Amino acid sequence: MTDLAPVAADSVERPDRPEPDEVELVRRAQLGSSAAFDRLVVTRGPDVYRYLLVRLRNESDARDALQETMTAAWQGIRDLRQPEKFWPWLVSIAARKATAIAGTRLRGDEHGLDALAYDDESLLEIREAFGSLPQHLREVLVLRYRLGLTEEEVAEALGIRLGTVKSRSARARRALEELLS
Amino acid sequence: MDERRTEHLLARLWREIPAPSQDELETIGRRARAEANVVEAAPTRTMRSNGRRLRLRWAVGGAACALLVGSALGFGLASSLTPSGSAQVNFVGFGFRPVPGWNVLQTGTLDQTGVATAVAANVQLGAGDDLGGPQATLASLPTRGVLIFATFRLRGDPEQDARFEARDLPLQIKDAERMAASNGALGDLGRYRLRAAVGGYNIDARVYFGQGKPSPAAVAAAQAQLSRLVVAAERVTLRVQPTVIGARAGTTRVRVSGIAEGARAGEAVTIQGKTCGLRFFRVIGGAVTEADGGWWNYVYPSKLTTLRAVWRDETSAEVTVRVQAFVTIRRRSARRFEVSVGGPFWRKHITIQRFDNRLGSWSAVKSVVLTDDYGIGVRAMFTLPVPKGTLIRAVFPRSLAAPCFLAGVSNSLRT
Repeated sequence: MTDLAPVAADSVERPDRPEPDEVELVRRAQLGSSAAFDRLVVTRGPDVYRYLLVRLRNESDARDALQETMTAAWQGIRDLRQPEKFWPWLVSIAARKATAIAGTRLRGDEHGLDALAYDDESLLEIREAFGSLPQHLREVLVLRYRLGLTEEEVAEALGIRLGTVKSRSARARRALEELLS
Repeated sequence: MDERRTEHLLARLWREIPAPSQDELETIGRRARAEANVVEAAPTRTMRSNGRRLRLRWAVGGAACALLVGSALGFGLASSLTPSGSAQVNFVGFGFRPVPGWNVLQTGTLDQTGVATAVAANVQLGAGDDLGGPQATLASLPTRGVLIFATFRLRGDPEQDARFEARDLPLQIKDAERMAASNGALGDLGRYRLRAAVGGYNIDARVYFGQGKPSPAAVAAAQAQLSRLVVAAERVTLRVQPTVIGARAGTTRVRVSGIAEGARAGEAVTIQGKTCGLRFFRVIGGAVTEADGGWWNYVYPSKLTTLRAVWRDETSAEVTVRVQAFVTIRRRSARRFEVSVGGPFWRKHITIQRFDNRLGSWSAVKSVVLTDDYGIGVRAMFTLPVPKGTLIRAVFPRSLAAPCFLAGVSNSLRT
């Protein structure tokens, strides 16, 4: 492993936060603009899909969940009171859809990241370490450190306590460090 | 590992995970809007998406055929009593007809959630396999092996229904989609998924072959077994949402809907209910069919009630709605509180709990006997030796609420 040296703060790819234009897109979508909604799907869809793939570990299920998430989002966007909270709101919908789908499928229909081929061996190690984490730890890591949700937003999206988010986050990072050391 | 390194690692991993293309995402957006519009259109009593006409194929065989198949499958015949005595004995069954060489495990009828499940394999089913998923069989599926795992679910959720294309029985294996390859436990298997809307039901059949590229013989075997798939459904279906209601029993409405196969617009559908404690059904509501046979309305069960729909002489499958005991707690004076439970619970005990901030959990502090019967419920006054500002609530356990109610938890109150 050569990638684990600390990196400068400015070189870290910061999680995306709502841009001003996204808030405007949400407002337009709330007024019924299908073009604005489609734009939101295109910009946010990839990250939602990746999260769902990590969560469900099955491409077919992840695509189903993405479709259901976007359907629910279009249905509910008019009732979203804070357009700037669109992203955590969308992720919380995705989390619920993923939970619903995970509860109805066959165990064993999972592969997710395992199906990906990597040229870079260090990535393989990261993937294996990440994949070996329990699902509830993996999910918190993704929501917190990749999708850019605050700890409060993660707690709300997953329906768990703030303290649980903090402890899971710490445990996940500790486990990841041990696995990669 | 600090947060910055975690972010960095995840960012690297993230970039390698493929995502849908822009075209695919645009399609997802369009489909989301179309499906959501169907959902929103539901209050206008449109029960089916895209105006597609669904037909109940199995009905073609008629009652004699249904009885024959039913006997073969070992399904029971549900007899029922109605006030008029007009509803006929009804047959409902889902699964595979038996044939030598295939092992079948199936529920046969819908469960409380409106789902039936069936597993069929041309090999011995693994020990420990159940209808939750035949993992053991799949893990050891030989090259020639074929396993079909099918679920049958009531239609009526436009968001879900849109994914199931209307098809005729027998289902065709050529309509199945190949599922993504897996590196996991099922990595070597050929995996296909066939989704179909048949009558008032969505069928989700997953077909597993012992080898990634199934032989013609295996495909033929799968097709033969799919041809034995049965959707022997009632001509009028009933979907109930939700099936568990809480809070204010009697004021929480339950949506009942369904499809009367072959009905014209304006025909009456009767909703019958058998409430806990009664031995017969009585009429508790009604609905009118639309042009496509779809119907819906609301009913307001106050305790455990078994529902069914009757159209002409046809009766739907029965669905039970469970009701949580309605428990409230309120302050009567500075030190006195009142707890009440809706229902016939005189002299029953109810537990008062306080929230322990230190432990982050509720703990019992008192048991109160409900002595005051006020007609539609019982109540009791009590005092509580807890510090001011303590959060309290009342819990009525299922053991006391049964058989007509589920356990109930009151509102929380700060002393």
